[in-house]
Parts: sequence; structure tokens; C-alpha cells
Amino acid sequence: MGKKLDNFPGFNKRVSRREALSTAGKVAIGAVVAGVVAGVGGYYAGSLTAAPAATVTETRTVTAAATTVRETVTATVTAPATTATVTKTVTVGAPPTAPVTITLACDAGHNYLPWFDPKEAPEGGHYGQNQAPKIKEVLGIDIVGEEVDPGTEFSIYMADLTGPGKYNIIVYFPTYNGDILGGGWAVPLDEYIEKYRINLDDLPPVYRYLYCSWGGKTYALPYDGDFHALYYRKDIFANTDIRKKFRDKYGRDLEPPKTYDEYLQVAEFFTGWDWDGDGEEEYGTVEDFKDLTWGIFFDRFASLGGLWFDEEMNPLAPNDAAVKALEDLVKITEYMPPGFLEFGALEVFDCMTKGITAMTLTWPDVGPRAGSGEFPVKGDQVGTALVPGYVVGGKLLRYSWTGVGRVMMITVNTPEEKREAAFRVLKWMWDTSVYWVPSGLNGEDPFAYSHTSPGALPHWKRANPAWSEEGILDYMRAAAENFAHGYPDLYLPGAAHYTDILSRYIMMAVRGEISPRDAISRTVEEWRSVTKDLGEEKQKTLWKQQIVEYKRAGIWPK
Amino acid sequence: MRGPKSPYLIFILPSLIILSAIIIFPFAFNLYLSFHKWDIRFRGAVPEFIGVANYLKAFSDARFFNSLSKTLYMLSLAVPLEFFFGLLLALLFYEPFKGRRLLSIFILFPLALSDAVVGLVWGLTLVPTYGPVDYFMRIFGLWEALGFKKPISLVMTYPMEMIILADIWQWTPFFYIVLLAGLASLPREIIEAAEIDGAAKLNIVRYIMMPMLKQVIGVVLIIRITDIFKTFGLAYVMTKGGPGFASEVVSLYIFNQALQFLNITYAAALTMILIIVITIVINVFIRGYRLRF
Repeated sequence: MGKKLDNFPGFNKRVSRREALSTAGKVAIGAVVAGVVAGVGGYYAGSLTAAPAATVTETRTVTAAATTVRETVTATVTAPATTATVTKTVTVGAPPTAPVTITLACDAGHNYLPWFDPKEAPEGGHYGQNQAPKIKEVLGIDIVGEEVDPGTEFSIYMADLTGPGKYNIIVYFPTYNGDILGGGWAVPLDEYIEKYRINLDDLPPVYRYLYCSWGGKTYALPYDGDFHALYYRKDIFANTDIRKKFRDKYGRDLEPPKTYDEYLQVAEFFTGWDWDGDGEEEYGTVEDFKDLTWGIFFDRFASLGGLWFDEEMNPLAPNDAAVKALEDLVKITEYMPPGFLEFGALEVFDCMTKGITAMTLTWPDVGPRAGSGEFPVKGDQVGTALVPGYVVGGKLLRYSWTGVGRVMMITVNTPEEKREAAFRVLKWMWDTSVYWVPSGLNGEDPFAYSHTSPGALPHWKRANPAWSEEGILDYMRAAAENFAHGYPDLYLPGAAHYTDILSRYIMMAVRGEISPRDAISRTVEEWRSVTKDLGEEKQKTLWKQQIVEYKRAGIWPK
Repeated sequence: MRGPKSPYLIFILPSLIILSAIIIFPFAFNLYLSFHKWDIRFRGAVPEFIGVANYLKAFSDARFFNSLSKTLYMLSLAVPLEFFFGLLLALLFYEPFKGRRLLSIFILFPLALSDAVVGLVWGLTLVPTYGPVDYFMRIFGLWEALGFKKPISLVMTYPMEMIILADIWQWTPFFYIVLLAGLASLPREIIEAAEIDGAAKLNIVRYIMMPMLKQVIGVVLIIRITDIFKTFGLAYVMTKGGPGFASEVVSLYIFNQALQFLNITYAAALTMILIIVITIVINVFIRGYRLRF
């Protein structure tokens, strides 16, 4: 596609600047702020395209006054042809005058660990977690957390929002944006963002406008990013014999595929023989059909110029592109391991990190999981690239579906006097996110340019001992490229119902029970019925509000 | 002089209160919801009376009827097979032998597991590439012997049958233990008399034991029939109702409508219809079986 990374904020910037975020604090902040600054410093300093091997040094000076913590960090990034220095000063505001308790709901399991982690280990894959006690220590805000089952969190959150309203902060899947933001349940954050100078330019457009905004206002901050990336066996792709074999067969060099036609060809090549010499037959690729079937469909459909709805609320427009996307999805399944329909995210990750497939198109976790060194296929054996695409109107269009993820918002049920404190909690988590995103073991993924800039390299190295610097930078570059090419999930009331229908018909087409065309036409028909049930006019109005965000993100067709 | 009924009322009052709170009120509220439309996702939304519209919608909802048919399919296979295997085990364990107690514990083990765990265990066991079933099928060349070019996903190819298999594994011990207890309570002398008279084992089972166990069997069957309509965990964990709609049993569909799609009031109507269906099935069974309470 025509979108170049250089056009996105945060890339190729080489600036020094200072930001004061607030005016009072205490000394305990130390390492937390340093990490944030290193990450943000990397954002300012980073030139991904020019930094294949970067070294980062940090110098810190801490000035403590009675009510103020000021920490100045200088990060120097040195790479071939690039040297940049950034100095950033962070001042942490004073704790609230009266103790404040903020109630939090977040999905259970690894996503809860950045807040509360009883087994906090300072080193390794879990460092940077357990922020709630630090928030209490520094900001004086007591967080009462509640873990919620991710499978039923939607109904739990809606029951609370419409009922007792006990939660002040909710961490949720943005797929519920239509219901939660569109339903009017979140507090607009623009005023606080301005006051606390949150730099939203650090976010790629898809997260900034589609994860966090509704109808032109910002209601949430990201907590966990998600995107699809193409992973491939770098060591196998570099093997001379295999490269020759591929060239002999297809008449071109073996490279990470840039189009879905190439993807199909490479998958075919690697299917049915033992290319890694372990004595077992291997496969070309694998994708997650079990949990989020519609996501892998949308990688393709969006790259064909497809839309969830057009401006007139016609589903899956244009339908022919949807049929083509589904036909291609059906074709690729021939080169997947037996049982792929039952593979959820973890099994898909394992296919790559256990040497079962040569490629996979899936979540951001694969790179860091290999980087952790805890699986048979380690670190630099795995390469990461931008998802493939299609040539549409003479341009190569490549979109990475960014569904799932997590955002944090403040509920409208939160009393006025607590809202600012709640926002300071969000800001804290936003600031410290650079600590926990580098680990593939906790499931948190990068969502900001600062997370994938060389300044964040020390954190990545720390969490991924089996990865070389070059390998990490390769991943960072690809991650940033993918989320810069991000395409949103469906954010509209009833999204879960729409995507459920789509997924079921996709599965029927993949199993050969119905044709792709039939699957799409049945989906379209049922989507119209869902829209009618939810109220056609209401849905149209809300979809138009979404289109505003698509346009702001630059992904609505002109 | 005794006050009119008052002591009795006081004694049963706590039970009445608890029953009202956990059964009568939810049921009445569910009934109320089923006649309304209430889109709780929007702030300020209030229930709007729509009469029987939700019920009419259910009668034209192909997905609902599909889910009912899947449930009835499960009922028709799982319950008879569980009864058959449970009875077989109970008869085998009727006569004492060495190690009977230890073996009983093993047999009862699945009963102690939740549906979700059973679903997970079976899902992981059957999944190709990673699971043990595929491993042994490959080692012994059984896929080829069965005519498959490559390993297939049993759960995706036969979703309902695999759910039923897991259900049989989990619930056969229930039939076993209840029937064994029933057998143990039978008067020993009648069976011994038949044996002295030279009656064949099969005839003793058929003409003596089974008639005497009829009430016990009837009760166990009623419990399992109602259980089948509540099947949720196995389908949710093993297939999520898929692929497509191939294993979306009725409880899972109602769950999806209520908690995934947030169509609370429509789900309430579906629940009311399901209650009616269960009542009919149970009544037909009681009459057909001539069960007496």
C-alpha cells in the first residue's frame, strides 16, 4: 500500500525537548520514571529504518524537592549513520490531599499482572508488573482491583455500568467500544490529556482513533496493543539449499511474502516435507481459526479495500472482495497442520516456536516468545514482517487486523471528585507500559512508537535473553510497520453478534459445507437482520461516528 | 389453645423467603423480561413492552431450532449409552471381587470434574498435531488404515459426537453408582432363589433386577434428561458451538444471546420456551415410563 512509515508521527524524529507533566511529588518514583523516559527517549531518538544495530546509554539525574520529583534522563542512541540524544524531564505530581480509592476491573490472568502481581520478579519476563502498590506509594491512590473472566467480561461490565456502577476504571477489549463508548458509558479524557500533556502522537492512528476515540473525542488510553504480523523461519529462509530448491520450482527468490498469492506459494513450498531435518513432516503456515476467525479474514478483506459497512450501512462492502478474501483463506488451509481449526492462539504460537510450520500470520507474541528462549525455536530463528496484501488499483495494499487489544477508560459512574485521580492512574499505566510490553510471556503487546524504538531496547533485551539486538530491532521495525498499517476490528453496538455470525459462516466455508460466496451472502443477510433488531437508524448514526475516526486515522477510502 | 397455623408459617418462612429470592423472583423477572425490549447497552434505556414479539421471533429463528435439534440429538445418544454402560458396570461390580473398591474410585473420577475440565481434557486429547490420539493413530498407521489421507480433526469433523463421547465419559459413572446402590438394596433372597431355580444370569437381570430397579432408573433418567438440556460447558470449551452451528446446543445459544450479544430480553423468551420444552419432555417420559412418585 501507499502508506509510508515516514509519514507517521514518531518516525525519523531526532529532537530534544522537555516536558513537565505536573508540579509536585516525592522521591520514591526512581526507577519507574527512568524506564518511561528511556522508552519515550527512544521514541524521540529512534530512526527505525536507519538503526539496524543501536546502542543506548542512559544518564540520570534526580532532583528531589520537598514536594517535587524531577528526573532528567538523557538517552543517547548510536547506530550507523544515526546519533541522537534526547533529554526528557518528568515531574510527578503531588499525591491527592485526601486518600483516594479507585476501583478497577480488568480481565483475569496475565492482563491483570501489570496491576497486581504477587510474584513480581524484578528480572526476566515479568519485570515491570505490580504497579498498583507503586501507584499507592507515589500518588497516594489506593487501587482496589477485581479480576473478571475475559469470556464474560462484556456482560459483567455492562451489568455494572447499567447497575451498581462500582467500577471507576475498566480495562476492556475495544471491540466493545460500540457498546461502551457509543453507549455513553465513558468519561471524555481530552481535558485531562491536555492538562497532563499526554503525547498521543506516540500512538499509531488505528490505536489513537479507533481503539481510544469515538465521534471525535478521546475516551480511553491503550493498555495492550494487538496486531497481526507475518512470522517466518529466518534460518530456513536463509538456507542456501532450500533457497535453490524454491528458485528452481518457482523461478524467484525465497523471501517473506508481500502478497497473499506469494504467501500461498511459499506455504505450498514448505508443506509436506522435512525442511528442518528433525525427521518429521512439516507445514507451510498456520493461522488462528478457533478464537477470532473473523480477524484472519479481515487481514485479507481490508487489504482488498473491504469495509465492515459502507456509508450506507451495507455489510462487508464490496461483497465480491469479501468472497475473494474468503476464497483465499480457504485455499491457504491446505497448507496448514492437521487440526488447525482447533488451534487457538497458543497452539498457533507453538507451531512456530516448535518448528511445525515455516510461517504464521498471527499476534505480536510470537517474536518475544521465541526471544524468551523457552521454546525449541529461539530468538533470531524467527523473523517478523509486515502482513501480505493485495494489489488494488495498482497499489499494494497491506492491512494488519488489530482486533483484541485492551484499553483503559473511566466510567461515567465515577464521582466527579475521583475522576482526576482515576486519570492519573491511567497515565501512570500508560507511562510505565514500556516495562511490560517487551515480554512475550505476559501477553502484553506494544502499542506505541516509543515501545518499538531503539530507546526501549534495554527493556526488550532484558525480557528476551535469547534474542540478539539485531533480532529485536528487526521485530520492533516489523511491529511498528504492522500497527502503522493497522485495520480496526468492528466497533459498533452488537459487534460480538456480527462477528460471531461471520466467523461461523467462515468456518462452514473452510470445511466445504458451503461455498465462500454463499457464506458471504448468508452473513450479509444476517447482518442486515441484526442491524434491524438493534435499530437501523441508531446503528447508522453510530457507524457514521465511527467513520469520523476512520477518516481521522486515514484508513477510510477516499 | 393453638394459634391459627402461625407456628407452621414461622417455621417455613425462612424457606419461603429463600425460595422466593432464588427461584420465584428470577423466574418472574425472566417472564417479565421476555415480554419487553430492553437495550441495556445504551444509557437511560428502559424496558419497553412488546407483547409476544420475542416469542414470535423465536419461532422463526432457525438458529434456535438448530440448537434444539442438536440438544435432542445429544439426548437421544448420550442418555441411553450412559445408562447402558452404567448398568453394565454396576452389574460387573455387583458381586464382590478383589480391588473392587479401588476400581470404583477410578470409575467415579470423571464425575468429580467440572464440565470445563472435561471439555479441556477431551479437546486436548483429540486435537491433532499436539494430542495423544493423533500421536498413536500416526504411530500405528491407523489414519491410513481408516482411509484418511492425513490426520483429521475429530472434534471439527464430528463435533456433536465428540461432545457426546466426553459426556458419556463424564456421566456414565453417575448411572453406575446409582444403579449399583439400587442393586445393593434389592432383596438378596429373591435373586438367590432364582439362581437356585436355575435361571440364566441374563434372565435374572431382565426379569428380576430391572423391574425392581424401575423407579431408581426412572429417577436417574429424569435427572440426566434435564441435565442434557443444560449442557453448556462441554460445548463451550470443546467447540464453542462450531464449526459453524454444528454443535451449538440450546443452552449455549441462549448464553450467546444473553451474555455475548446482550439480547437479554430475547434470551429470556428463549429460556421460557426451553422450560416449556423440558416440561413437555419430562411429562411425556413420566407418562410413557409410568413412573410413580
